[in-house]
Amino acid sequence: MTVTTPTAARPAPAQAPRRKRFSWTPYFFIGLAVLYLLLFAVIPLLKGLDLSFTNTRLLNPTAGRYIGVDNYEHLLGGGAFFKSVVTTLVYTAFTVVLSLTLGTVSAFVINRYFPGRTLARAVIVMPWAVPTVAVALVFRWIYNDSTGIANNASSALGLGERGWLTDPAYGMPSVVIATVWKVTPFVMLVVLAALQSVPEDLYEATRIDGADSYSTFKLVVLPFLLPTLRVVALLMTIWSFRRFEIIWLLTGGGPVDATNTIVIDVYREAFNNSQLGLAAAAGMLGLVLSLVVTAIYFVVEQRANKQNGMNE
Amino acid sequence: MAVALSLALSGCSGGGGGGTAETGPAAAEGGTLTFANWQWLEKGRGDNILAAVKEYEKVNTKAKIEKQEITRADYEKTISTQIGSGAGPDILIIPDPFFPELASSGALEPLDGLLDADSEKALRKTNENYKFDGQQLGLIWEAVPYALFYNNDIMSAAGVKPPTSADELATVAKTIKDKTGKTGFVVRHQLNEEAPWFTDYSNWVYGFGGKWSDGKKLTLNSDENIAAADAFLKAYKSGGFGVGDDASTYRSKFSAGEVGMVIDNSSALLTMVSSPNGVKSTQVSASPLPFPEGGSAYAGFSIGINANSKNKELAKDFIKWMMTADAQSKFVDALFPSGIATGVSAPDAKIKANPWIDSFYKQLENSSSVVIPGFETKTPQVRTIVLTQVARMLTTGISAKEAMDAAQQQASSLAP
Repeated sequence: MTVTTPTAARPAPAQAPRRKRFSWTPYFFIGLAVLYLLLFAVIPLLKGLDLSFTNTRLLNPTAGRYIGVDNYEHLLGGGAFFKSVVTTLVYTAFTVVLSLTLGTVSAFVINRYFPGRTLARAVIVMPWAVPTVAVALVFRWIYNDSTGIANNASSALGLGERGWLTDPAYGMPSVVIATVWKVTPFVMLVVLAALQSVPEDLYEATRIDGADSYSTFKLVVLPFLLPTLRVVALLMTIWSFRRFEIIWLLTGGGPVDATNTIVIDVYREAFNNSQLGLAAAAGMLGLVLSLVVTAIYFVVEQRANKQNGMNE
Repeated sequence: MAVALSLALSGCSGGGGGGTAETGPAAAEGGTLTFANWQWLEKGRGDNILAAVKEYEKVNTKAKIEKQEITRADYEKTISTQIGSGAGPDILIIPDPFFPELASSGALEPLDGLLDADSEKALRKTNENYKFDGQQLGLIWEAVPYALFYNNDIMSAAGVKPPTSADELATVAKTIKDKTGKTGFVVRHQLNEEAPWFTDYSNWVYGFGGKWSDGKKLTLNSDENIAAADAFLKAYKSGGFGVGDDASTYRSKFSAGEVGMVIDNSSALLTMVSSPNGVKSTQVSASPLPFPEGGSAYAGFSIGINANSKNKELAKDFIKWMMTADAQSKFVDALFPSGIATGVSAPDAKIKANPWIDSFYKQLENSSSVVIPGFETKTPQVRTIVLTQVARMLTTGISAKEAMDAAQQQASSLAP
């Protein structure tokens, strides 16, 4: 009788680690993006920065000389540029707050079912689809002192006529109204998409728990909406800093500089006064303003993420 | 940013100012000339001007002229950008306030000696304005005069006569508005039309005996300039003024019989009375500007050659031909009702059909350029400062004196 002693299970011989095959594919795709950014963002930005330290003129862009920080001194030493900064901030604040408020409210309304909802959505979105130049031209007619319906309406209401585009007191409100009319549908669409991403079973759970509408909004809907609202607010802010055509076509920066934002300043310096260097310096200061806003956004976003425990 | 991008992509190879581009083949070899002008877009008149220009193709059969259309509002900006990037048209029409900017940048080909002595003598005196640092960089294309013109039917309906003073202008404007419901009087008055408004507004300053400078220092707040600003304010506040109407709007309204009186140039009026369903030329009359000293501004334009042009010889040959008596007889018809380069009289038939032209021609005899002597290249900056203050005066209740004092103070840093 032969006794066989059981053999302990031998571990499998360790395999040599498999070498990853090198691939150019990801570098190709990243390279395309980097090339695009280099060509259309980084190089123009650096060129703009370079221009801002010169006295380059539009008609003779190769004859500019370096003049140090003279352009920046000129801008920061006079009151006109600071007035443009304030005008830009006022325009941005009103535009962002009003469009966010109206867009969010519209999204809530349009999110509920009611007869004709599809038609209502199409109508509300329409201003976003209309070219900005057309919007400006239509509002010029609306605001016309002698034949515009804005004055017809204000007269009918017993408020008298106003110089919507000719009186410095009304220039900014007129431009803000036209802008808000144009951009609110974008906010509405984004917020509506966020609203529709709230799972239905969450609503059901709150209903079962007996939560009222306010509690449902505060505890369920708002947490879903906040990240979207923050991104939209950032986009709207940066776009408002940069917005040119609607202001230029409605008022040209007037009446009496009431709507003279930084972008209008840049355009005037470059194309009215042929001062490319000075225009580039104004553009750089505007860029700094945008970067400050973006930095604030990231700080707020990071805090929110920490609170939600996303960084743990 | 867009500017920077265009410069970056063009490799910063701007040729503006260098004037280094080759002269191009001899004129006899022909070629294609691009000719930039906003007037191509003027209904009727633009076609006539182009037809006159195209006559050159009959003289030089190997040459071809292509128009480059740019709207008046965007003209200077577009040309500046094109020339700055080393390109641009071969030939261009240059509004007077734009001339110093082009000339000082070296963007124009010198034209000295292009015309013989007799041909040069035949040109209007204003041709002297197109010399820069002793070089002839442009030649006169046209001088467009201003006057006060009005719709006869509206004046009759309101029971008013043409005003002969600034006070009367305000009173008549108000009466027209009260009695007919139509706009009594209108002229440019908004900053989004800054360049043409400055020419329009200069009529008031020159009409009151004012000047923008004495050649060495700016005189924005002289007594005459303040009186002119005050008169403008009175007209604006008259209750009959077309507040908020830009030029295209009030010109359309005048054409439709909705405006009583306008101060504008003769070319604009011709366009207004050329509409088939609008006010007819015979329904319009004109009178000298209702200002005490009789002076006025004219909208002056010169013709020049882009220093970047590859066809300089052909372009020079075209301008040489343009100044011949034969060509001028065609241009006087096409450019009617402007005063053209050589002062040739317009055809009798046209003068008879447009009886209002006499007042414009009379006003032209006592008119001046709006380029500021001693501050030629600073004219755009002075313009912005002055008109911003005028706009403040019109809309915020400050006085004419306060506005002009503020303008003088703001412009004090501008060196001649």
